[in-house]
Amino acid sequence: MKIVSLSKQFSDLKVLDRFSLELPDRGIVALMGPSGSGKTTLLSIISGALPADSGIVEKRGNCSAVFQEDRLLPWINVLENVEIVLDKKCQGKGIGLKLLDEIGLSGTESQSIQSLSGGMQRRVSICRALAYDAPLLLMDEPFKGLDTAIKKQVMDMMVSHSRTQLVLLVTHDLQETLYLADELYILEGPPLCIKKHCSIPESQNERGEDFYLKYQNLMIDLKNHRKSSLIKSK
Amino acid sequence: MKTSITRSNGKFKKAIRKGIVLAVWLGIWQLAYMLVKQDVMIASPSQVAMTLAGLVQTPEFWMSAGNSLLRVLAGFLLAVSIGTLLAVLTSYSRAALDFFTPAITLIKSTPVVSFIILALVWLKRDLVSVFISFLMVLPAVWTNISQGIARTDEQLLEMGSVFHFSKMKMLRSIYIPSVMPYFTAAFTTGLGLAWKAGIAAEVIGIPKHSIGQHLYDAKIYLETADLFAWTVVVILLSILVEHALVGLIRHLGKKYNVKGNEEHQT
Repeated sequence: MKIVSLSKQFSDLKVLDRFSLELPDRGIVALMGPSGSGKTTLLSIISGALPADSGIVEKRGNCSAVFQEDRLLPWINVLENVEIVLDKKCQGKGIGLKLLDEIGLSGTESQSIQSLSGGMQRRVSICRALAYDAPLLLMDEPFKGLDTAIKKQVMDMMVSHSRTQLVLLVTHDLQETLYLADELYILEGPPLCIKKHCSIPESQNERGEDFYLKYQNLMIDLKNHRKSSLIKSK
Repeated sequence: MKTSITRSNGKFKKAIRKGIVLAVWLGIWQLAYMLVKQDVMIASPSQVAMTLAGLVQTPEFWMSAGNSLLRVLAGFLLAVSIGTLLAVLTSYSRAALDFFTPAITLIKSTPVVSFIILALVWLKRDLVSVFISFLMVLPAVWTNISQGIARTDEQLLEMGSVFHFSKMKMLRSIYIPSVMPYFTAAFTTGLGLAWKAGIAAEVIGIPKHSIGQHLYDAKIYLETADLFAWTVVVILLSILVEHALVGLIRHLGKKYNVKGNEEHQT
């Protein structure tokens, strides 16, 4: 996937200014950066929900998404919410039930959305995104509101799904990034730009002391940047 | 088991409470009758009940009630259909909104009687109440449904477009359920309006074999008991039709959020 010279401006604010990025076809790529730097705008443009002022997004096909909010339909039940993204032909073939079972929500399929807790609704929206067959999955802070044990279960599910698709993960959680991501981009903005980029080796052994030192430095950079952006905004 | 007993107990208590309230109001009515002591000014509940009992035995009653019901319903259903189409059109076309807004504002602020007199000039007597019911309900339906469309959650629409929902799926899964609470509110408010305006038009237009004609006759011959009895008929018909139509919508639209809240009235 390729993003070439993307620009977007909201009134006086340039959120993206000729932003470019090249990404692999599969795996999990984490995007970290301070709030308001333009990450969500970038995801909205990639998903096609927001038009860019200029620039190109080259992707292999449609994309699926877990939004910052759950965006579930309150008038239909849990299973219908998951299967709504499927073609009529695929509906009722058990894909929804299988995913709900995998994410620990079996037995809730005919319940109303309002009867679920916030964390359960989050998981339904993750199931909906996984049910949609697309080479690209955009996730904007997808694990917000999940408790530790469930988060681990959902993250494992993500790892198995990322073998066939590219997952673009926006997160503020360092542990999530270390556990899930194959690559990490540290961003700053607006306008959005890449401050640091590193690959995260999959196995703990491969990471070695060098990696953690490099990673620690990246995180210190990120923290310093956050502080300076806070001071700026004051 | 316990739940069902509690539920039926609750219903029973509610029915008793309603019965008591009704009895108190009938008592107040009877008291007012006894204080006024003039049959021309006010009829007693028993007189009205007896008149009504006599009326229902005549074919004329059923013919008049049926005719008025048909006229009001025709005007109402026409207004619901055209109002809905108009709301969809004006929600998506700025030019259509600019074009229709003055007309709707004019209908809303013109006294109903002006329209009735105009309609008497333009139309056959039989059609006046259809037209007036239509005219009174149209702005209510248009306003409510336009509001429903405008308040459709942008984030849900964005979700639909990201997942490439077809236009039909967008309509069935997001737009219709979002608008439905506003539609049912417009439906119930509109039905009440249609009855009031439709019968008023009949009283002025006096089409043959109609409730309006009987109300007019009651006024001319100072038959207050008849006037009260026909008014009771209008109220009962209005309640019955509302229950039947809203029940029908609920049954047909279970998947479309029909049970949603119905407070969005204008």
